[in-house]
Amino acid sequence: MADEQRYEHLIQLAVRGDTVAFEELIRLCHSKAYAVAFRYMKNEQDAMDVVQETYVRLFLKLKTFSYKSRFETWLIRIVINCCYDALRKQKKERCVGEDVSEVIDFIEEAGPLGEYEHPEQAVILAERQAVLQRAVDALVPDHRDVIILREYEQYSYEEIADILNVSQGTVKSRIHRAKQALRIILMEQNPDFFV
Amino acid sequence: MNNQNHNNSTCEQQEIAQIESMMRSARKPAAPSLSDGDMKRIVCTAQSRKRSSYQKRAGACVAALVIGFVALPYNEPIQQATMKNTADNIQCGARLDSYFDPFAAAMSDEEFADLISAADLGYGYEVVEIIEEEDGSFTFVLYFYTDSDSVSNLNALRTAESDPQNLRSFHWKISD
Repeated sequence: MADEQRYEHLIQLAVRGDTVAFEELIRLCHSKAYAVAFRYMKNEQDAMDVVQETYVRLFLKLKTFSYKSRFETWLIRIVINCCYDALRKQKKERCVGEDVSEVIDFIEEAGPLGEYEHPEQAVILAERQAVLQRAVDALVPDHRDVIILREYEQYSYEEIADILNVSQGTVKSRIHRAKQALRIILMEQNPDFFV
Repeated sequence: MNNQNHNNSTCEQQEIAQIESMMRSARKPAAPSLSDGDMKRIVCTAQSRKRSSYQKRAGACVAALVIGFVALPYNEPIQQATMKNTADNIQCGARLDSYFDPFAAAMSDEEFADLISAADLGYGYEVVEIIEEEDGSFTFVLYFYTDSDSVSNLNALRTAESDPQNLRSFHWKISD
């Protein structure tokens, strides 16, 4: 069964109160929802909190899904909304030392250092990824969304347009402007980045 | 001069390519699996929010009925006075015929309804402001409730101007 047909079948069952179908629906799209949440939240715990909140909202809103957009893109739209809600709440609680913990997160994400011939390279790479991630965070939300969806998660222009409810042309121009903005932010914050 | 511009542009392209390559090579995070306990918690939380949302609506209906009931004796003389004046009745009827609720119209647009639905935190929302734009489109300012408790929701709505984090604007245009 094609993805969309499978989703439609499960949605219909879930709307009628079949929680097993709802669970299957969640499991089908969990990895994609988590991947996007992780890019915004930057750690496993917060990303899991966000996806679980997403599924709660999904449960409540499923009967309003109109099949005008693809189910997966609708879900990712909810994920992004949940991420921004969580980030707004977090903003008040930010603490000093975040930079260091971010680098540690990236080192952990890169896997065991023993896998690398030169472990110091892994650390440098993790540091550069952390710098880049901070620059992505500094982008305006419109730019950050397209960069995460296109460059990190490799969604097509059509899918991004559907998720963000804008035209494909707008997606392309936002990506172009976002990359230029990213380059400027990196040059200003870390002049050595491109050396 | 042209050469310098060309060099700058090439340099910019190389730097952007470097950024793209780093982003695309970033390791994909592996999603931790959802346990049966997680699933149960998700469904229970959703069901409990659904119940509290019904209770909130029922509470609002009761309040509306009480207000309507209390206001009934005052409405009667006004209604009788209005009935005497036929012109008033016609005007009122015309107004009712031409009454247009832009938010209801927007919500009948499935795409717009999907947007609102995706932004809803699960506790419902209140339309705070409707702005009619010059081109005939509308901007709706919505306050999304963050709580199932109706008292704290009302307090939150009252202070929404000083704490706008749950206020969102949505733009909608009648399609041709």
